Amino acid sequence: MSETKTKDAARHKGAGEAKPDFVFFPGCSLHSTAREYHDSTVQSMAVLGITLEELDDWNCCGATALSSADSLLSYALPARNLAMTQERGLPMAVACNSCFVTLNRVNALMATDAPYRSKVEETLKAIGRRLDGPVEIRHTLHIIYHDVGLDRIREKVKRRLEGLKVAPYYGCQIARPRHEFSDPEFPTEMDDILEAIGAEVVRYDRKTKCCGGALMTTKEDVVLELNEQLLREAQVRGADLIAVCCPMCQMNLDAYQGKINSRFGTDYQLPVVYFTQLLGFALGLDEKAMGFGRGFVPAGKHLKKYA
Amino acid sequence: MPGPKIGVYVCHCGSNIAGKVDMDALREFAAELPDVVVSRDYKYMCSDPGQDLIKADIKEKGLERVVVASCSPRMHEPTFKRACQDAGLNPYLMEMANIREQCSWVTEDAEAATQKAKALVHSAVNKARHLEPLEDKTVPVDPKTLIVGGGIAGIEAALKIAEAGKEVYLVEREPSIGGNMAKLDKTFPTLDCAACILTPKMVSVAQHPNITLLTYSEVEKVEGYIGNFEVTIRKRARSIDEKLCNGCGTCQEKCPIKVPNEFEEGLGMRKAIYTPFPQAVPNKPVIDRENCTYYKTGKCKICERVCPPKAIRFDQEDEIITEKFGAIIVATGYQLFDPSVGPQWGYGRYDNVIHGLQFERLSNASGPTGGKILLKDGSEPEAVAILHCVGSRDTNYAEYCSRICCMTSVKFAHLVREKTNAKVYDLYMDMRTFGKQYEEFYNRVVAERDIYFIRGKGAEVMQDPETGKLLVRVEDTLLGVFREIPVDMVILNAAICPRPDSQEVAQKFGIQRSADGFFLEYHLKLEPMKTANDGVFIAGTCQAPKDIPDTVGQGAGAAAEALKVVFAGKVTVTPTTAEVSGTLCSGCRICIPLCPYNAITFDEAKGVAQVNEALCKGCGTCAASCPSGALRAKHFDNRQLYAQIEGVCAE
Amino acid sequence: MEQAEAKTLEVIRQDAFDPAKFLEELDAFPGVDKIKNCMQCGVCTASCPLSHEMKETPRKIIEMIRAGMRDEVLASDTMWYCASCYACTVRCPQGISMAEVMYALRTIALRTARNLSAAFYKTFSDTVRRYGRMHESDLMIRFALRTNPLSLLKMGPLGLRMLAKGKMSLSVPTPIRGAKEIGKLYDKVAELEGGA
Repeated sequence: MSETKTKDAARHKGAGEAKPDFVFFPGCSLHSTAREYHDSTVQSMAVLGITLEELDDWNCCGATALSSADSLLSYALPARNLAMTQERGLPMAVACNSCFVTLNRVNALMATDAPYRSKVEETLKAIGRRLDGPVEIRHTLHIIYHDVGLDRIREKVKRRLEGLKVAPYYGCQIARPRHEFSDPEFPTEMDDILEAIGAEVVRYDRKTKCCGGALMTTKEDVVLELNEQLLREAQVRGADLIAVCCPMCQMNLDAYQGKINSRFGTDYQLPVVYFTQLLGFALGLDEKAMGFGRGFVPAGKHLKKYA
Repeated sequence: MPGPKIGVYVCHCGSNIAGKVDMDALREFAAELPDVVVSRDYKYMCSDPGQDLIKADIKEKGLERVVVASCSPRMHEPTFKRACQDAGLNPYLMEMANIREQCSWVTEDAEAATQKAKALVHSAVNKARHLEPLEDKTVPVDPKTLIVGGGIAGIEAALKIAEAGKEVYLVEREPSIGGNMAKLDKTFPTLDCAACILTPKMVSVAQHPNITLLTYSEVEKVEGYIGNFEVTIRKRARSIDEKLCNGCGTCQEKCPIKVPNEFEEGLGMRKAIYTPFPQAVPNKPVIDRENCTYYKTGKCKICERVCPPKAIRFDQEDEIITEKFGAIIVATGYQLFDPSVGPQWGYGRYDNVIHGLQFERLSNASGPTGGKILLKDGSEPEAVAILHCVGSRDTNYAEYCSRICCMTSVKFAHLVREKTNAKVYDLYMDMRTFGKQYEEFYNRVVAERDIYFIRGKGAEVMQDPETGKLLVRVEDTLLGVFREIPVDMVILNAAICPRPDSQEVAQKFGIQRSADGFFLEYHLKLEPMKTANDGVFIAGTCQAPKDIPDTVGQGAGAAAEALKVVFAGKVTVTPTTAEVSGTLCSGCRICIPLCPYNAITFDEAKGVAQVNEALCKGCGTCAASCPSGALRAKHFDNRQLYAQIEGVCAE
Repeated sequence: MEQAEAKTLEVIRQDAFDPAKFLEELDAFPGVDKIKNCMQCGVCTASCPLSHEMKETPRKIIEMIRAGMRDEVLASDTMWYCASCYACTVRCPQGISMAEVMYALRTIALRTARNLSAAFYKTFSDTVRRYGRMHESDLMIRFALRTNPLSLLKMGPLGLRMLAKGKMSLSVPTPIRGAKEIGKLYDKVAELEGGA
C-alpha cells in the first residue's frame, strides 16, 4: 500500500526526478494507529515538492520499550534501519517522535569512537550488514520548516485556515535531547508553520510537556492525569483543536479523552490532529484523504467553514 | 686559539638531581671539556655558600664564562646572574643547563639521566663559549596611570593612586561612573546602602586634582609598552557644554522622548537627554543621539530652548585624546547572565520573573517603583521565590560558581520581608556564605518569619493557566519530595558573566582570557592583578565574579602594582632582543608583519628594518624568517644555537 | 505480579559499603556517564512529569546508587515511571543523562523483575522478534494474557473503537521479509552479552 503512495508522490512531483529526497522511516504506528499521519505527511510533503520513499523492509525501531529491555538490542535493532538507509544513499526522514529519538540515539553513538560502537557493528555483521558512521536523520516537521520554508508554504496554500485556533503540541521527544530544533523546551517550528497556513496559534506553555507516551499502558492512572493537564491548558487558552506531531501523543490525548472526561468529571471536546493533516488540508488536499475522520473526537465541525 | 675561561658548577639540589644523576661522573666529564678551567659540584648551588664558590672562582681564576647545571632557569636564573654581576662578570655571560626539570625529574633511569645531563652540560658549555656581554637598558616611565572602567574597582584604584600623589586618567564608557554597584540597593552583609557608600567616593574622584575623569569616553587604541603606553581615547560628544551646564535638570524634565533606561535594567524610562541616575558623577546630561528627535528629523530642540545657561551644543563633535601612560588598569566589570536563553525559567515570557539587578532597582528608593516591591500591575506580591544558580554551576551555560548569588539571595529574602508581607521561598543548592560576617548574616535571616529555605535547585517556572500564579517546581532534596510552589514573583539570581565585548577589549589591551571568558591573571593565587602583558593590570569582576570587599581589595592591589611601575621611574628592558644589521638588510620587509609584538618598523630613509628594543620580546620569529640573515636574536643567535646542537649531539 | 518491597533505609553498614561495583556495572551502558558528578540539586526530580508518583525521586536514586544500594535501587518503582521525556537530561547541570540511567536500571532489573512494566517490555521485545515490527493488537492481547486476562475486558470498549476507526486490526500480522535477520540479531546480541 505504501508503494502506491510513493508512486503517487512521484507523479505529483513530475518527471525527471530520479531519486527521492528522503528515505522515509514510518515506524510501526504510522501503518496502524497513525495511518492518517502517514498519509497526510506523504501527501502534503509531495505537494510541497519533497518525495519520500519508504525504507524497504524496515523493522521496528524498538522505541523506549527496547531500551528498557536490553541495551545492545536497543542499539542493534534501529541500527539495521540506519544501515539500510546508508546503503540506499539518502538521508532519512522520520515523522514519529519516538522513532526519531530512538534512531538518533544510535546515530549519536555511531558518531563517536566509543568501544560500544564496535559491538553494534559486530551485531550488524552477523546479519551481513554494515553501518559506517552516522546517517543524516531529519524529522519531517523540521524538513517542512527548514527545507521547504514558510514562504513556499504560504505560496502553495489554497485554504487559509483563518480564525482556526490551534494549540501546537510538540511532545517531548522531538526536541529532547537537543537536536536540530530551535529549542529543547520551546521550539517554534510548528507554531510558524501553522501561522503560515493562516491558523491562529494560541499560547501553549505545555508545548513540550510529556504526555506519558507508552506509559499509558503500564501506568494509566497517572498518565491520564498528565493528559488532563495538557487538555486543560489548551481549553483555557481557547484552542479549537490541538495539533501534534507524534502518534503516541495523538493517541493519548484523543483516544483516551473520553476516559479522562469520565475520570475527572471534565467535558473536553478537543480534536487532536496531526499538523500535517491541517497542512495538507490548507494546501488543498481533501478532508477525507487527510484522515480527519479517524480521530475519536471529531474535527469536522471546525473545518466546515474552509471547505 | 684557546677560548674564554669557563667554570662549570653542578648542583645536587639535595637529592633531586644527585639522587639520579651521577655527580662525580658529571663533574669529571665537564672538567675534560675544552676551555673548562674549573668544574665543581655542590649540594645547593643557589645557597649563599654555593654562590660564594662561583664568585670566588670568578675573582681568583679570572673566569670569563659560567655554566650552572641545576634547576630550570625559571627558578634561579636571576640568582646566578646576580651572583656573577656581584663578582664583576657580565650576567649575560652565564648559561644554565636544566638537569632537573628536564632530566632527573622526568626519568627513573639513572644511567639515562646521567647521559642526558652530560649532553646538556656539553651543550651549555658550547653555547657559553659564544656568549657576548649585554647590558640591561632602562627606559623612563611616564608617571600617569590609565584606569579603564569607573566602577568601584576603578574608583578605588584611582583614589589610591591619586592620594599617593600620582596622576590618573579614569575612562568610563557610560555617562556616569559608579558601574554596577550604583544600581544596587542595600549591600551585604552590613546592609549599607550602596549609593551611600559609593557616592562619596565618586565625588572624591570628580574633585581630586590628580584625577582626570573622562566619562562617556572609550579607549580606541593602545600602543607601546610598560612605562610608555600610547593610548588614543575617544571622548564622545555629550552635546553639552560641560563648563556652562549646572546640572539643573530642566532639559531632562522637558524632553518629550522616553526610552528604556539601561540603568534601570529595562524597568524604567529615561529621556533622550539624560543623566542615568540622580547621583550621577558628573551630574551633566548627555544627549542620546540615536533617539533624540533633533538628530533623527531636525525638529524639536526643546532642551536648547529651556536650558537656563544655554549649554546645549547640538553640533558638538567627539574629541580624540592621545596620551602617554606608564601603567594601565583594566577594571571593566561584568554583565549579568541573560536568563531568556533558558525558557524553563519563564524570563521574558511571564511578567514578574525578574533577575537580580532588576530586583535591586525595584528595591532601590530611587528606582522605578520608589523602593516598593511591586508586581507589574502595581500590586504587592503575596509570595516570592528566589532561585540560586541561574546560568552558573551548569554545564549547559557556565560551569563556574558566581560567588555572590547566595549572599544576594539571602539579602533579597530579607529585603522582601522588610518591605512586604510576602512569603519568601529561597531555593538553593548550596549556601555559599563564606566571607567575613556572611555566615552570621545568613543565620540572622534564616531565623526570620515567613522565609522558607528549600534545598533544591529551582528547575522551572510555569504559569497556572487559570489563576495566573507562577508555579515554581523544585525538589525539596532534604525531604526527597517534589514541590510545586505558587508565587507571584520569581527572582532569578543570574550569574555574573564576562561582558559581551571582552574579546575585543582583551585584544585591545594585549591581555588573554581564561577558559571561562574572564580576563586572565598572571597567577591565579599569587598574582591575580598582574597580566602577561607587563604594565597592564586587571581588577574587579572583569577578572572573576567577586563581592565588593574583594573588588575593593583588588582595586587597591592593582593601584599598588601601577604605583610600583610609576615610582620606579624607569623600567628595565632586557637586551636579549633582535638586532638588525643595516648592511645586510635588503629592505624586503618580510619580518615586519611576522612580529607578534609589532616591534619592527621600516626606516624609509635608510631603507632598512628597525627593531624597537623595548617592544621586542626576543621570540626570534623575525630572525628565523630573514632571508639575508640580517636579523640576529641576541643571546640566541645562529652561532650559539648551532654550538648548542653540536654539544647535545656529541653525546 | 507483585512488586518487590523496597527495604526501609536504616543505617548503612560500612563493612557492606561497596558502591564501586554498582557504578562499574552502570558505566558499562554507553549513555551512562558522570554519576559521580551529581550535585544532588534535584532539577531532575523537579523537571520530571511523574516524579510526584515516585517513592524515591530520581535524585535520590542517584544518591542510592552512589551509596551502593543496588538491591534497594532495583526494587524501587521509580524507574518504571520514567516516560523518557528527557527533561531531566536536558536540564541536568552536570550533564548526566538521567533518562539513560533509567534505561540501564530497567534493563538490569528486567532480568528478575516481576511487575506489569517488566511484562510489557518483555512482551514488546518478543513481538518485535517475531514479526520485525510492532503489532498493536497482537501486543496488547499477549500482554494481557501474560499479566491479567481480565484487563482485556477493561480495554474492550477502547479496543473496539480503535478497531472501528481502523486504528487497529485483528488480522494475523505478517512478519517482515527480514524477520529471520531480526531473529539473528537477537541471537547475536544474546551471544555478545554472554551471561550478562
